[in-house]
Amino acid sequence: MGGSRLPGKRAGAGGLLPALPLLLFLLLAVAWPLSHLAAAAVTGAGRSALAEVLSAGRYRTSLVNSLVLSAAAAAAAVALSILPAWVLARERFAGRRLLRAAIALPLTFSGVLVGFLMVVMLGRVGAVPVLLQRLTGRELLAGSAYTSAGLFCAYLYFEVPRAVMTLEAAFRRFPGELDAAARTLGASARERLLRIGLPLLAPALRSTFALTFSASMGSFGVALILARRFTVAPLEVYNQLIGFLDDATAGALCLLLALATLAADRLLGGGTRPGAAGRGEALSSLRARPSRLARRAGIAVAAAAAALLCAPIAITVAGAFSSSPWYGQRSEGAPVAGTAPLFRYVLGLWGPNLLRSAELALAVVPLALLLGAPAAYAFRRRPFPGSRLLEAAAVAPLAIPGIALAVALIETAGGAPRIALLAAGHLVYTVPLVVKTVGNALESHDPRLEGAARSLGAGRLAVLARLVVPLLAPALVLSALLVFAVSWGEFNASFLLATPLVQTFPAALYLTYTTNSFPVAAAATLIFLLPVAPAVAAIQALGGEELRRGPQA
Amino acid sequence: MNRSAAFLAAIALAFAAAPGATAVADSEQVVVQYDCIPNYANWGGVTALYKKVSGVTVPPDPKGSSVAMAALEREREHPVADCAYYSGAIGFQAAQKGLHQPYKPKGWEAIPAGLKDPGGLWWTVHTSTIALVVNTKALGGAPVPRSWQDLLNPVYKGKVAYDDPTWGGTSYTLVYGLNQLMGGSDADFKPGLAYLKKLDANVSSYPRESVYNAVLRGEIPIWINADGNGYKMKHVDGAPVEVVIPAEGSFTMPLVMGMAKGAPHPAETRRYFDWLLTREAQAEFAKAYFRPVVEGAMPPDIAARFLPARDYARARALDLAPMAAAADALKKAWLEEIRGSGR
Amino acid sequence: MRVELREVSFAYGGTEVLEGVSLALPAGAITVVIGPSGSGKSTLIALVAGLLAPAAGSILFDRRDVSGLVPERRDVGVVFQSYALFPHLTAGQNVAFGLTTGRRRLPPREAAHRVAELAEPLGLGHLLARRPAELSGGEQQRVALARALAPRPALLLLDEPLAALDASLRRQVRADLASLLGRLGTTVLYVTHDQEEAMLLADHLVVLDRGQVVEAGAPLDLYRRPAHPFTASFLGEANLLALAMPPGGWLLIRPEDLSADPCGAPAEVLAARGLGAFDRVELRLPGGAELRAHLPPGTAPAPGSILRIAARRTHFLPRGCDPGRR
Repeated sequence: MGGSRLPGKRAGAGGLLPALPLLLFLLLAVAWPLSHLAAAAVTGAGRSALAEVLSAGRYRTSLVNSLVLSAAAAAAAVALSILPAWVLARERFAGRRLLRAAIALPLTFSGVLVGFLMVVMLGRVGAVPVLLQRLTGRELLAGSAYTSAGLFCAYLYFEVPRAVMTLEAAFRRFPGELDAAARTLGASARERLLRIGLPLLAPALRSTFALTFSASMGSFGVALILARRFTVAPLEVYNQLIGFLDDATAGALCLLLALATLAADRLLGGGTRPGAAGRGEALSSLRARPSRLARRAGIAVAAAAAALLCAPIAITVAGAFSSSPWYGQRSEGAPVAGTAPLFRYVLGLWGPNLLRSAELALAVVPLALLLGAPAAYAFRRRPFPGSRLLEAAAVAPLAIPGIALAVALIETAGGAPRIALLAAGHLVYTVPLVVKTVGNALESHDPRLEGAARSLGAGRLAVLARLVVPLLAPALVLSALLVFAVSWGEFNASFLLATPLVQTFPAALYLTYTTNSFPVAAAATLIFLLPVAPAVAAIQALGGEELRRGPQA
Repeated sequence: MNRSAAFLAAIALAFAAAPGATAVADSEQVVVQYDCIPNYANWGGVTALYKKVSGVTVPPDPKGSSVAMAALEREREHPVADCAYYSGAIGFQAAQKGLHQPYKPKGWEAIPAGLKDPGGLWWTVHTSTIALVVNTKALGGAPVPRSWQDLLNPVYKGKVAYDDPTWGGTSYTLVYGLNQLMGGSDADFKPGLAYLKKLDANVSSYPRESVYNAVLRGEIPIWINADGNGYKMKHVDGAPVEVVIPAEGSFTMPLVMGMAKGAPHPAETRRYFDWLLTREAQAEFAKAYFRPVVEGAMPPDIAARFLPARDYARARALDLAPMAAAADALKKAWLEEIRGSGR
Repeated sequence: MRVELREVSFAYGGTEVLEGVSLALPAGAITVVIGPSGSGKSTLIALVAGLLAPAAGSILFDRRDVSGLVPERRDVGVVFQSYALFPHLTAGQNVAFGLTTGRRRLPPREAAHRVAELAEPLGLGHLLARRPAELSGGEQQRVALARALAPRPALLLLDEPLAALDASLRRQVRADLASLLGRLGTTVLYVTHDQEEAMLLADHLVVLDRGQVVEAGAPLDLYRRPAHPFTASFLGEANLLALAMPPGGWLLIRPEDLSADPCGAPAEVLAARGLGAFDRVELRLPGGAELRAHLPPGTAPAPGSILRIAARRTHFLPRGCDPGRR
């Protein structure tokens, strides 16, 4: 492990030490609890549960519903996102940053918030039916939020931002010169798209499909609010775990969900980089001139997408300031008139939850950085036997449904203080983001820089402190922001890990949406958005691709 | 070096803050009650009053009766809850499963015999009657339904809702009661389920949370739930709501409390239970139009706003023991029959 | 095809990349535009190809204004500095690409014939089935050239095509390229920063600096009789002696035009190094001016000694204007 070879990638066990905390964490917080749950699924009861699930009946229907809706929504999301992603990646225009931030904001919303926004728009007395009623005098689309079409729209709502962010990253890396070369060879726009663009972007399109498909397969918060007249698999898992304590069936469903997600990932995922054509980028730094019409159309579509995504938020925020008397005001025990009293009332109701979420975030951010960053460094600069496997294992937990993890944690470590379990749950979903973000940053830095520093006499610690950490500072800040945004919006695991004494703010949001009246819910939503909106703007400014792996819906 | 020091300091602070804040929360006096929905039976007002009177916080909890029982079951080894509030049958079932510890609060004698467990494992805190809570404005011109049969009328398509009976005890009581009403028995669920299947055509959703505000807003025009909720909407919130006890008959429902085995705050819980049976607390429940279990605790002006006694003559009490025994099977049957297609 | 640029300007992000550039590409000849990096050479290629639109000025193909014409319709072939080969197609498919686009639709057999026709002289015959990633730099460059030539364009643009190759390969390819382009008879615009390349390839040479044309003309004319000091020093090593008295100006003496002469000026030898083909010697003249001379190999005296030096040929550059300004 010593030696005066030029350091860059040194194989050996030297990298194990920085990655050790992550390894221990994964074993304790993920592998052990989940194996406990998996054991239930593969015992005798589990196998018969598996058979029961696969045979006809509501479980199989729920799985089929999930598969069909998720696949349809993923395909639609990818198709809708191509033009906005292209425009955002390759065009410069006024308001581009704002547009990007507007599209990225929903990435931090937990599923309950998305469900609530759908109800705001398409519930029985949602904004759209009310508007249509005024315009046409007929009751149209009222309550459509609770149909499969409504769930489809909700899936689109959190999938389109993910798709746009992923595709934008891929499009940005697309060598513009290839398009220029094709043009000089006489290819029309259609020919370029079909013969150059699509074949090269196919890997990115496929992996975006896989990402969005997984996101909706696992989405629980949305289903909790919207899936009323029909059922989807995560909801059945929840019912079995919470209502019937039927771990075997729940485990079987989780297993099948995970298999479907993994299969999609294996078959389709893993390629967001279009092939590089050669060296030198002289011309690609110059913007090739597309037709004015295409550019205008692209910007218009992107703006329309952003508007559609922001409209429900705008209506909700307006609702918080409406100041008109609201239903249920008096029975909620606090006749409140005016905006300031409304917010005071909401803070009085959910203040402790707000503090809890803040305190969690404050603890989770440094812990996630400590677990993830050294490990990412080890993976990239000091690979050891098995480091590739460990890296994949570090990112894999993102596919685990939050509810499954929560139940697994309660079963195996129920005696631990709930706040610790909550922190563990949050860490499981945020550490991968740190590993990926820091890993990407390391990949773009020349590994020989460290060798140069060593040759100038710097010891290993000095190299870390004076070279590596400053170079990684933007990535660390970005990671911290990402971890904060995801932890702040995490609902699936937090909801099940919560007790009346220890509850996060998204769990409070769920309670508000389901029990309080609209202005209270709107005010609570606004309070939720206040810290997260600037975080997203900062993340966008720093180029955070990994935001697309935001909180599970 | 300054940067590293600052970084380390921040981490230390984070570690210190987390357990510190938790410690503060735990040292507060608190009683954890599963199923403590603020605008159901005025638990919001009751717990607020208790905090004023004693300084003890009882935080809200959205779990329905069945979910509360399941949570107690799952947390047997490491109890989190001190007590739970249920619809009678579920509370009975929970006690049978050994999830409760006995305690007879002060004023035990005031509770009528059929409304408490002789051993003290559960006791009724107030009662209500299953009724149709109708937001007349949201009906959109359709007539107010007067009977279970009326509800099957296609004019109410998409306008009816009742809570998921696998989640909430009130709905479980409804389902069990309807089965009895329609001629079924503990061995035969078909009549009740047949009716509910027909009703399903008019049902918009089976909520798993309190949809009190949704009814107020007009999202749900007809909610089959406790009559008290309807009266409160009408008289406290001033909504255009009418309470209807269906012509064929309905069912009264005791709502019970049970103390969890291994409760983390046993002393506070016992004091809380004692207080719940005082006039003060019982009158607070009456404000939500839930009938106090203690005689004479209902203020006369509130009593006057209930439907006349002849309507309530149609409501019968249901036996808790067989109701509890049939719970698992009936819930599963309901799931299969009504939601079986996975719709 | 004769190509003309009239007062073409282009700005990018607030900076002027090209300013009032006017130049003419004689039909059938190889015009080389030479300039340091950042002078706007690649932008020029992009403008002529139609990938960028000029902010001002016009571009004429055979007296027809093509400023509004999209690249797909211009009869132009481009060899990019990074080659821009389509990674998902084989070399053969890359070459054939332009034969099946837009209005051109060659039947497969004819296309294959044309590909083979081009592959032969470029030595690509055995490489056509490979993907670009499997080819070496030199091979990729030849594929890029074949691809650009396949549709028989009237104008060929090359953007520093040899920049990515190492020195020995560059020399080899340069020679091949020169003979190939000479035989084609197509109008060629070739852009580079390498002076040797420019001198070897150009029929007509244009010197570009900071977005403006400094000078244009025959290569040797510009080498021997430049009008601007910039041209003089960019096209090769130059000794520019500034004349102190009015009207000012410079005297250009090329290092190879200096030789030892018993009747010459006595110059102190500051440094001498044998470079193989010649000896480079740094000298200081009695007046203080420093010169560089290329002397026959092995004849350079030791530093510190005095060498009598005379210039065989000189050229006077009047101070007409600042270098690079019009």
